[in-house]
Amino acid sequence: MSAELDNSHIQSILGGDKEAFRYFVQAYKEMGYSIAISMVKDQNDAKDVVQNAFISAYKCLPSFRQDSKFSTWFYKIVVNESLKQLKRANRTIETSTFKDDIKDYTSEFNEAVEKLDLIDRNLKIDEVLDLMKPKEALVLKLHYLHEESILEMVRLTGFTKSNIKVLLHRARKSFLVLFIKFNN
Amino acid sequence: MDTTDKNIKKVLSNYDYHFKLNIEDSIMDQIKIQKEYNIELSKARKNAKTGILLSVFFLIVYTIMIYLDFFNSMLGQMDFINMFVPSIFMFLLLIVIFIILTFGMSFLGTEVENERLLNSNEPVP
Repeated sequence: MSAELDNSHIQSILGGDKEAFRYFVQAYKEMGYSIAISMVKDQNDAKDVVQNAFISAYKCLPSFRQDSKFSTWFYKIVVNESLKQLKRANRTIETSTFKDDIKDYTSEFNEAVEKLDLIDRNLKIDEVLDLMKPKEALVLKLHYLHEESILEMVRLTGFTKSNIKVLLHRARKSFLVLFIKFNN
Repeated sequence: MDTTDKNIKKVLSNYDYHFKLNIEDSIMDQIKIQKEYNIELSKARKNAKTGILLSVFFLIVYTIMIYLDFFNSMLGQMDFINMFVPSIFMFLLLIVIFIILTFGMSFLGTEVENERLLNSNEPVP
């Protein structure tokens, strides 16, 4: 997923080779789904979001300025589509937040991670992410999984720099507490 | 990055790797039926350019005819003009028939394509 490879495929698509778009679908579908599911919390909705995001990306490709990475541009579309989907579905999502909890859970969390095997850990992550607030789950994944910098996250989500920092702090806390909670 | 950060990254990475998404073909089917907006745009631009050039050409011809007082000089030759009236009407009729046929063919083509899509499993645009 290098920038040169992305750019060469973009040129092919703009030249009329629709099949070249398959490269982007294969390369970014999982990351896109990962962002979408953390926001919409429903597998079918997340698949719809990713599909709509890819179609929007294809339509807007001629206007894509190559001063940013394709991934950043695409994830921004996924975030916008997720927000639209949340508005459309108008569902009440049950979430938890621990912003007022001052206890330090780091050592407890690290012990819990060491003890669990992979399958159990995956099951717990599903439940933990389901209970996290959509924006907190989003910044957590962007920071830890996609390794996006704060500035990239600002560009990607449209939130302010300080907002991202606060969300990231709360997300980290919520993740630790919920992980420990589901482990017990 | 401290140990906690590393552990968060580790569990999230392992978690994401178990996604199995079968949406690639359905996305590509949607992409294949998208219109090539660049090509459509260049076609429309070409048509607009041709239209402008033709308009300019006719305007120049009209201006020259007015400048040379061509219409007044034609008044004395009505017999010659009357001889060509049926062929002028026939030419106009042919243009109208051509436009109707072109419209009818494209309409029928769309109907046939819709019928084919309804009877197949391909996604309908």
